[in-house]
Amino acid sequence: MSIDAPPQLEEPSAPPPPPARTRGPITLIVVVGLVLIAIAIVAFVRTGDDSSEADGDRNALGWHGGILEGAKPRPSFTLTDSTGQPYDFAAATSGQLTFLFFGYTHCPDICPITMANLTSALDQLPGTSARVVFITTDPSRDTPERLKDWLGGFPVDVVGLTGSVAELEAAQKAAGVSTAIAEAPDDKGEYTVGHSASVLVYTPDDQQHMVYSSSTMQAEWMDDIPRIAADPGWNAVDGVVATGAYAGPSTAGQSAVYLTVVNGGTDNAVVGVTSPDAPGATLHVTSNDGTTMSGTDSLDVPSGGAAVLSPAGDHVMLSGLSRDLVEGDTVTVVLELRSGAQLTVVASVVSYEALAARIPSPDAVEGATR
Amino acid sequence: MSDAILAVQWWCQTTTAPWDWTPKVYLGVWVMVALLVVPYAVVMVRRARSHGLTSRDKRAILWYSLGVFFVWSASDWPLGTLGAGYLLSIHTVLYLIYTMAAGPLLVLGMTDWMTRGMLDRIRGWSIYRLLVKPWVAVLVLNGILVFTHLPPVVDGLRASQFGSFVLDALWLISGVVGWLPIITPFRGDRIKAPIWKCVYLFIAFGAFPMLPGAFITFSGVPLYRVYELAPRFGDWSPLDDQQLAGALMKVGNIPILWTVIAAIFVKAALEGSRHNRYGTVEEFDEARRAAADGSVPAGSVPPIPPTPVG
Repeated sequence: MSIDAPPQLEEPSAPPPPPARTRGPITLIVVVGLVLIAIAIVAFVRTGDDSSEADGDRNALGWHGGILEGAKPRPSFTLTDSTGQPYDFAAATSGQLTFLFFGYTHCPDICPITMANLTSALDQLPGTSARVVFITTDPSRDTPERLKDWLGGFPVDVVGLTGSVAELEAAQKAAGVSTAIAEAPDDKGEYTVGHSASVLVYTPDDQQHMVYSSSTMQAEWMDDIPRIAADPGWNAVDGVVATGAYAGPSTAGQSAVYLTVVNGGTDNAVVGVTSPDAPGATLHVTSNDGTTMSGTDSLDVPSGGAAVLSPAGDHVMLSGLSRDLVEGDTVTVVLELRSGAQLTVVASVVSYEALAARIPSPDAVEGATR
Repeated sequence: MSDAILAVQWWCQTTTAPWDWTPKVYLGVWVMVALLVVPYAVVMVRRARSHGLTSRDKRAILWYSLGVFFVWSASDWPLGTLGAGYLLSIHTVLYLIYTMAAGPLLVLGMTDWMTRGMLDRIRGWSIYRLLVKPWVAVLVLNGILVFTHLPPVVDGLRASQFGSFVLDALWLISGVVGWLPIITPFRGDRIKAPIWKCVYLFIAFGAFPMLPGAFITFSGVPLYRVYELAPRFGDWSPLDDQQLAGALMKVGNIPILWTVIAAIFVKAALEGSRHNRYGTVEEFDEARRAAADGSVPAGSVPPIPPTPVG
């Protein structure tokens, strides 16, 4: 007898009994499984949309951090920065969005995680002008050199401050956080320090409106920081707020800063500009056809209106820069308003490609002109 | 409560303690291993006393033992601990161990008589019949894959010992179900054509995981609170860890998957060759008997392949 199929060499196993005729459980399992998979796929896709995985942690106002019932003023204290120079916190950060955190570099968990998440978020928000200040709670081990080395591992510039025990305690009290307590050293002389795990957020109005926990995720920071920076109520000086500042890399000691000035108050104008990084900071306007650039004494910002400074348009010209600006750096400019107030703006330096991408289209320019 | 008592936990879960290399004891892991081993051993001992163990039974014991070993290694310290609360990449490695090693080895460790007895006892034939269907197995395997990698699910389950156990159990179940159509103890229920076996394996284990793997790899921010806020392990940033995890999900199973596919292909080719040389079962059996008796000089007939097993 010949057969077409290959010889069956495997030991045959007894066939299982015929399938049961109970269709109900099977149908139920299939339906439940399909529903589960559908929900999973939908949820997975939605998770990748605007960091919505963190939605469950938002408070009632849509923030991932807490809003203080009463704003606290930006604290005033002077400590020593990582170059060994005195650092007047209130003066150096006045008018700027500032994130303040107390921690220590030997911290095994909270400090590196908090700093990494915050700085990684800021690194991905190059248009955001912000300062990050880290104050040690462990002055005996966190020397200025140690601070500089440790903070250098984060993706954006962080100001590291230290001081005497008394100075640091005073700074913590001024900021309204609990004073850190060092635990007893172990056999190897290592010890941990109990400290505040909150990130204090100061807005350009020199007030603290918000506080974030150390468990804030990077995606949550990225969700909130642009909103904080854009909130006219917190960033406004005389009703005027500057947002979205960025600058180009320097060439031959020159660069330009671009930003948007929004006025929620009465008619105002930018009547001057200075920069600690460039003695020759001036306001420049560009002709409508984009061919002529010239200095100007003022840029009007009418009530309810805005002045948009953008590549190939009006801008803040920086000449005689004291240092080269490369992508990732920041540069500070101070806008003087006709009302007498000043707006301090920290602009992040972006690449030439990023600058080119931000040149408004002719239609947009025309629309904005109207 | 003393530190010694605190150190003994039921199951791995998220912890805020920095990682250290001090071994931890997880009672639940050992209970689960016992639950896997003891009933199996009892059944096998009874079988040995009543019928004796065949070579297939002995191989099944070996496979089952390996499967239990992988379950234990994925659940216990250090891998289980690292994957539960520190590194997403290790979390993905655990998934691969459960689905690509522990699951199939446990299935291979189940003989047909043992499985039949178990299904009779638990009245599980209808569920078995459903799960052995390839399309159902694909859906279950990858449905669990997607579901157990949703950030809210991972963050929610990993936060508690019970949730972490559920996650591990789901992965083991998905590994068992995913391999059923290929290696179910009932050969008649297996996918028969080698090409369809290969297609099934590619779709079930190769193609589907690419999607969540790519999503995880190319996300610009860490997705999982558990792993983003975990005490850092070495110098890895959460995003580095996440990208490695995504890459592992996409390609980590390739060595096993393609080895199995290659084995199926080679086996099919050898069987095809054997068929060409021995056109009928009778001819083949005659050749085998002659070779065994020594009545046919070596070389006068094509070499007899070993009795296939597996």
